Amino acid sequence: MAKLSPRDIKRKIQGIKNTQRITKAMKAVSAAKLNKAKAKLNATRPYSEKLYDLINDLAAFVDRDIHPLLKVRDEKVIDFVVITADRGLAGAFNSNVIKRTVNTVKKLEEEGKEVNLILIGRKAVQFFKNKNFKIREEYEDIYRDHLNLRFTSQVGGAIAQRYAEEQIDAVYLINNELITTATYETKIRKLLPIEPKIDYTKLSELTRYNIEPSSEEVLEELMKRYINFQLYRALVESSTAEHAARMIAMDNATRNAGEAIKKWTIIFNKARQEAITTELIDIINAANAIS
Amino acid sequence: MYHLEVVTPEGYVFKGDVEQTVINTSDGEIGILENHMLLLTNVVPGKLRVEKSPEDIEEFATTYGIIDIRGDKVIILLEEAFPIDKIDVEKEKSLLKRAEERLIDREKLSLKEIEYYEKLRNRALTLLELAGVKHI
Repeated sequence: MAKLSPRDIKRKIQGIKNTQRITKAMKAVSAAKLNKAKAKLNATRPYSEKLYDLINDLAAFVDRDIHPLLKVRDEKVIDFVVITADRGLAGAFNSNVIKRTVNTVKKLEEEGKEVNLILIGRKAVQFFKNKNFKIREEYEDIYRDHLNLRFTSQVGGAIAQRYAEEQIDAVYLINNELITTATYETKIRKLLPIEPKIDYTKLSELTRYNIEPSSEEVLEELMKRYINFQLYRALVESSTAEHAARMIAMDNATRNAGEAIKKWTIIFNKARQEAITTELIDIINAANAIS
Repeated sequence: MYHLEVVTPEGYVFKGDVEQTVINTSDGEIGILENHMLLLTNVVPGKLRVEKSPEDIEEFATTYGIIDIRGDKVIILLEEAFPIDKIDVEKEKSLLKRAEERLIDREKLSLKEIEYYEKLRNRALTLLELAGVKHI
């Protein structure tokens, strides 16, 4: 590295300071967004529990082998819903999902299965586009305005239809989930077929129910809701983890910038001292020469 | 009095003891008093009336969902629900427009898509009517 003048070094330090200011601000923004997202995630819990309970109750009434959304088949054709963020600057957040997807899809294809991708999030779309993958659908820019059941019921409705028509045999979801505020994990979950946990001891209570129009139809409605809701939940999970990941990444960046500033300040001080010393030597030599 | 819970994916809309609930189901409007027969049925867009007492009444706009009447506990799971005065008229208008535009080319749509857009249209029309907007 060429020797930098004290002035160049000073400019460099200023540059790092500016970057640090930005990373600090981004960290604060992510922290605020994280709290909001966490609240949204917690709010899904009562709905989720009640929906799941109802499905388990109703599944006792219907024949699994006949119901179009409960029927289990050999997994030959699989839909894979890949959820990433729209934006980066969040550490390995997006690449974790992408890497895991690539590996899993490769493995499944080696087993002779057909895998179709449903991509949600710009980072996923950018990566998988124009590569050797089968892409069914792609969605970008949904986190800000479309993170709701109306959006997911569009995606989920199509999934339910494909499953009911036996075009696909299984559906998996891959997304990041928050474990603690400082850690998240990439998880793969099975969305379809659903495996209800039937509690036969409740059956006598349940037979007193009037189910209109019929248990099959109500269960089908519930299952569709369940699919749409699971997609919604996965998106909320992912966006919560995204904010946490970005907060951590920006915290690290701020700290690294701090260390860089410290390092360059020492170099700057040394360079300045050197310059002063050189000047002093010059003056002393000159003075000695005169006397 | 019985316990009522109205839940959406965004959390509880209502939770508490009530005297009567009136809601729109796929078979028409039903009123639920204490000791109603056990019933499980689909909810369609409309007005949800929650009577805590004859003087204390809350009204909500609902979209699609399911109602579970189980003895002393009634649970209503809804995609969306909000107080009638919080209906976003502009949003519902744009949803209606989108649904109607798509439904023009009916033959180009799959059955599922037709179902989706018809439900969307029904929702927007019902909510606009509840908000007091005349259909254009």
